Amino acid sequence: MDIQMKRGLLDVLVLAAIKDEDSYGYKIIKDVSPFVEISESTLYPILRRLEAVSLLTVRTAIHNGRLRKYYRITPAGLLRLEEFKREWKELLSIYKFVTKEGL
Amino acid sequence: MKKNEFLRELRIRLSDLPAADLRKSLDYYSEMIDDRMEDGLSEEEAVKKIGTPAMAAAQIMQELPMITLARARVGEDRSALAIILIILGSPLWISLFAVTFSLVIVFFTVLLAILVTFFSLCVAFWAAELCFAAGAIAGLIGCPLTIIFEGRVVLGILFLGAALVFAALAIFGYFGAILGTKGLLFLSKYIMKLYELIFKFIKFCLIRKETIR
Repeated sequence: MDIQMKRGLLDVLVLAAIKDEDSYGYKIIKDVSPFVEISESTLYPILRRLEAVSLLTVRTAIHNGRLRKYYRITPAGLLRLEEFKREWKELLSIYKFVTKEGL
Repeated sequence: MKKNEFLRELRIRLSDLPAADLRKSLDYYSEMIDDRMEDGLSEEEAVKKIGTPAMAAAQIMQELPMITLARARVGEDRSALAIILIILGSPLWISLFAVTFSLVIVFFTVLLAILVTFFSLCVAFWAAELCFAAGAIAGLIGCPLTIIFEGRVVLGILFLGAALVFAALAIFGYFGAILGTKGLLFLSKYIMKLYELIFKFIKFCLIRKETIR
């Protein structure tokens, strides 16, 4: 997939991965990678960026005797997902235009 | 490669970063390796999946804001004075930096001057427009007042004529002013884009120096 397109979609995918319950880095990667290829190094800046704009919050919890960071979606994050649903309709009409016969 | 080796190398590559950023990055990669091992991979396999420390470091640098990168270049805890002294103290820097810097300043100033000129033209246009409109309204009000209260019909008609001339000027001027404003918006948009491009370039330079080292 085109890098620019992937970049935009990954933000939304990560938010969707923590939408229903808090999640941690490795689980997010496992949940997202069936849809878009994502590595640890790709996820890290995304998490930092989403945290910086308050679409998610981070807390540290003890897991198996070590620290693990859990990410929780904020109301603003949920709004961003709603916004994506609206954007998707625009994308769909673009898709229809691009794939129409005789083009 | 073992987890400790990976983290040690990453720490060296990111050593110029502010302490908090460095700590967060190391914690993140440490957690990732641990989680992969918990999922059944051996330590070596887990580290291998993450990629090389160089790749991880480059990715982290890429996303940092420019200010952080610039600070990382000169050292986190140096004061502004120390930074200036470092720049001035190096003989090679003086000429190179002065030339580049003055070129950039000149360029930015010229762009700004163009923008300001256009802006003042635009303001002048709208001011003239306002005067025309005011003249037209004054004439229209003045005409009946002069005729009714002063009984001077000729003067009243003269006012009406003047009002019509002003109205015509105002209508033509309006289109001129709208066109001027549109031109200004268009120009400022492109100048903004140019500024953005320059900033991106400076950021790019900072990142490159960081990864080459």
